[in-house]
Formats: sequence, C-alpha cells, structure tokens
Amino acid sequence: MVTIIEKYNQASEKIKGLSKINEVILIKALKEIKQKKSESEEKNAEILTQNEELMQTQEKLIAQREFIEKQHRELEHQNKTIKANESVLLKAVEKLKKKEAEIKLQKADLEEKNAEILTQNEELMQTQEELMAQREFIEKQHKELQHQNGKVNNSIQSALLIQQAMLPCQQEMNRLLGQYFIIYKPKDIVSGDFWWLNEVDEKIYLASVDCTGHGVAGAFMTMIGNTLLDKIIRLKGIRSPAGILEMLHEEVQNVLRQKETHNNSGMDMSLVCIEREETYSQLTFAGAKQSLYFIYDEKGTIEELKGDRKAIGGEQNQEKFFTNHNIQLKKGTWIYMGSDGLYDQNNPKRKRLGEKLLKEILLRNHHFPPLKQRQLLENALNEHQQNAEQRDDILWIGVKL
Amino acid sequence: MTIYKSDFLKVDIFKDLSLIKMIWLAKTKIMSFEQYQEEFLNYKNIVLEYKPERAIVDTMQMNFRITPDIQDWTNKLIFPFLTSRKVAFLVSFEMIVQMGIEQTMEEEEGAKFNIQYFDNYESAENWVLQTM
Repeated sequence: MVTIIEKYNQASEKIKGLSKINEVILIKALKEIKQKKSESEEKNAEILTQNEELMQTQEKLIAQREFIEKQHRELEHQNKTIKANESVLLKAVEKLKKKEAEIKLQKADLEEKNAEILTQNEELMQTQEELMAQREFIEKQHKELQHQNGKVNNSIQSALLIQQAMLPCQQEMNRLLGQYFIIYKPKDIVSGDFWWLNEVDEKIYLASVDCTGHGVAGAFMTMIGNTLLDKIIRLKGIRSPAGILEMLHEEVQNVLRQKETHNNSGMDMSLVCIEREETYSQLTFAGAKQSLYFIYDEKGTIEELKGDRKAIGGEQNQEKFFTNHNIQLKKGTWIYMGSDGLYDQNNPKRKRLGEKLLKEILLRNHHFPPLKQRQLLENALNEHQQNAEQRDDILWIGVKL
Repeated sequence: MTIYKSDFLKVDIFKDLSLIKMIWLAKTKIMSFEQYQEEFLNYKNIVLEYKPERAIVDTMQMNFRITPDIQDWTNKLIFPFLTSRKVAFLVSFEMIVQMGIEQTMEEEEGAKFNIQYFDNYESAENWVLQTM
C-alpha cells in the first residue's frame, strides 16, 4: 500500500512539479502573448497611421491628376491654336512668296524697260543734238533767206511801182471810159496782166492783156507789151485792131528773138476800138484767144464776140490771121473783157468758176452801178474760191458805152 | 434690334437702314469649327430672310482662327448667299485672327464684296451708310 500512496504522492509531487512547470510555461506564454498583443497593437496603430497617410497621399494624387488633366486640356487647346496659327501664317507666307515672285518678275520687267528707256534716251539725246545742229543750220539759212527775201521783196516792190506807173492813170480812164470798173488781182505782187488805154483820132483803144507767166517773168512781158502797143498804135499809126495784133505778134517775135531762141512767150489779149456817137457806139474788136462780152438788153442776153484761136508771140500757124469784128451797140450797153484767170479760178474741190457762171453773174448784175457790179463779181469769186490758192493773175474790165 | 444671340455671336438688324450687324464675342476663343459653321449658317438664314444691303462685322473681340479650310468653307457655302455686298469690318485685336479674316475676304467670293477695315465703330458706320 505504501507504494500506491507513495506512488500517488510521488505522482502528486510530480504533478505538482509539472503544474509548476506548466504554470511557468503558461505564465511565460501569457507574457509572450501579452507582448505579442502589445506588439500587434503597436503595429495596428502604425498601419492606421500609414493608412491615413496613404489616404492623404491619394487625395493629393487625385488633385494632382485633375490639375494635370486641366493642364493637358489647356495644352491641347493651345496646341490647336498654334496649329491654326501655323496654317494661317503658312498661307500668309505662301501669299507673300507669290507676291514676292510677282514683284521679282515686275522688277525684272521694269529693269528691262528701264534699260530700253535709257537706250531710247540716249538715242533721243543724240537725235536732239542732231536736231539742235540742224535747227541752228536752218536758223542760219532762214536768216539768210529772210535777208535775201527782203532784198527780193524790195526789188519787187520797186517793180510794182514801175508797173503801176505803166498802167493808165485813173484820171485818164475816167475821162475816156466814163462809167467802168476794173478788177485787178495779181497772183503775186507784180502781175502778168495789164490793160492799155489810149485815144487816137477821137477813137478809144482799150486792150486787156494776159502775158505768159505771172510774177516777175509776167511783169517783164507786160513792159514789152505796153511799149510795143504804144509803138504800134501811137508811133506807127496802125489803127485796125486786127492789124495791131498782127504787128504786135511780129514785134514780140522780133524783140524776144523767138525764131532764133524758140522762146514761146507771148500774150493773149482783147483789143477794142470804140467810136462813141450820140446814141450808139461803133466797136471794132479783135481778140487773141480772148473774147469780148456785151449785154444785149432787148433780148435780155449776154453775147460773146470770140477772138481768134491764135496768141501773140511764139510759134503760131502762119496761115491764121487776126480778124476784126465790127458791131454797133446802143448807148448804155455794158461790154466786158479780161484774162482767163477769173473764170479759170478753182475752188478747194478743183472746180473752175467757168465762163457760163461768169456770164450769168454779169447778166444778172449789169443794171447795177459799176462799183456795185465789181463788188458782186468779187463776192462771187471769193465765195467760189474760198480758201483755195489763186492760180493766175486776174484782170476783168467792164465799160458802159 | 437684336434677333440672335449665342455664346459666340450676336446679330442686330436695322431694317430702315438695310443694315445688319454681326458681332463676334470673346467666347469664340473656345469655339470649334463645327460651332463656327453652325453660327454662320444661322447668320446666313437671317440674311436670307431680311436681305440687308449693308453689313458691319465686329471682330474686335473675336478670338477664333479662321484657318484656310474654314476660309474655303465660308467662301463656298456662305458668301454666295449674302445680299449685303457693302461690308465694314471692325478689326480684331488678335493679329492672326485678323490675318485669317483678311485671307477669307481675299478669296474668290470674298473679293466680290465692297469692304473696308476700321478701328472704330463711328467711321465704319459712316462709311457703310454712304450711298452705294
């Protein structure tokens, strides 16, 4: 029995010993647990702190993201604006380039034109210099010509005085012709036309003469004609108008030695011899390529006594002779004669006045006084001639018997 | 009389003067091409209804770049229908915006308008109301 108790006690002791071990272990374990719990709580607190920190960080990150997104949007807008600016500026640059190219072309064109203008300028300068030289030369010549012209004019003016002195004076014409008019228009200063008037044996000799040429050459011929008429009628006493013309023809040939020189100058003329009676006049007319016109009052017509188709001077048909036309005209009849310069005068369209129109004018106006007739005839001539140049000397004589 | 207003555009009409005013607003800074098209189509419809002979286009506050493709669209689809052939522009403060406007008006259809640019409203109105 002891043994069991002993064993029990032993066992109890052992158990007691074991419990004590366990207790120590447990206490130790508890301590460990407590320590671990304490550590765990510490860690939890740390984690919480960390969590809070993380939350804060997250919030910051979200704010940063929003900020970045906003900035991103703004950048996108700016980017778009920059791209738009770029496209507008590119177009502007293209336009500028185009304009620059155009300007370059225009510049080149202008430079070319400038060069042309410079060349032309040089040419013009040369031409101008030449023109200046020519002008100086012409001015010099002009001065010389003016000087010469002055001399020639002075000479011709002197010749005119001589020619005017040669023509019958007005006093003599008034005495011998009574009522009359004369149109005398030299083409130049001196004339190749003249008239000759004289009374011989109570007969009046009136001649209208148209010498070859006009101006100075014509005027020389008038001097010859005038002198020869004086010689034939007054000195040689030839009275027949036809005879006078025949002799004048021969004298002109002789004076100008035409048979030797074959000079063909001469004159056309009308020569009328008037014997005035109480109620009529006896006329003897001879003409060298000129006619005598008179108004036939009873019939109301103008009549023409045609001269011969032979001139004075120069080579003429030797078988042709001048003829006398005798006619009796009652007192107060108008007779007319003169050079072809009047009715051959042209207008600007080269149309002649013509004998037909001249006769119409003379017939229409014959009842007017002499000065009025002359005025109307001159008016008709001016109206016809207008600004056309005078082509020949003009002489026209009207006499009331 | 104001007959149209949006964030981007205001349109006034003066029937007695046969005048229309097109005023682009500052918000055009954020306007898209599509919005621009919409605004201009509205404007075109107003013009077709009232048929004004003159226009004042105020772009002083405009901040929208009219790029070459938009210029092309405006010339082809808007300009041929506008009755107001005499147009005074109040120039934009933004250089690039102004360049875009001028480029638009130099294109084929734009060049057919009688236009002048002004920096103040009074001069623009004086000119546009002169006898044509």
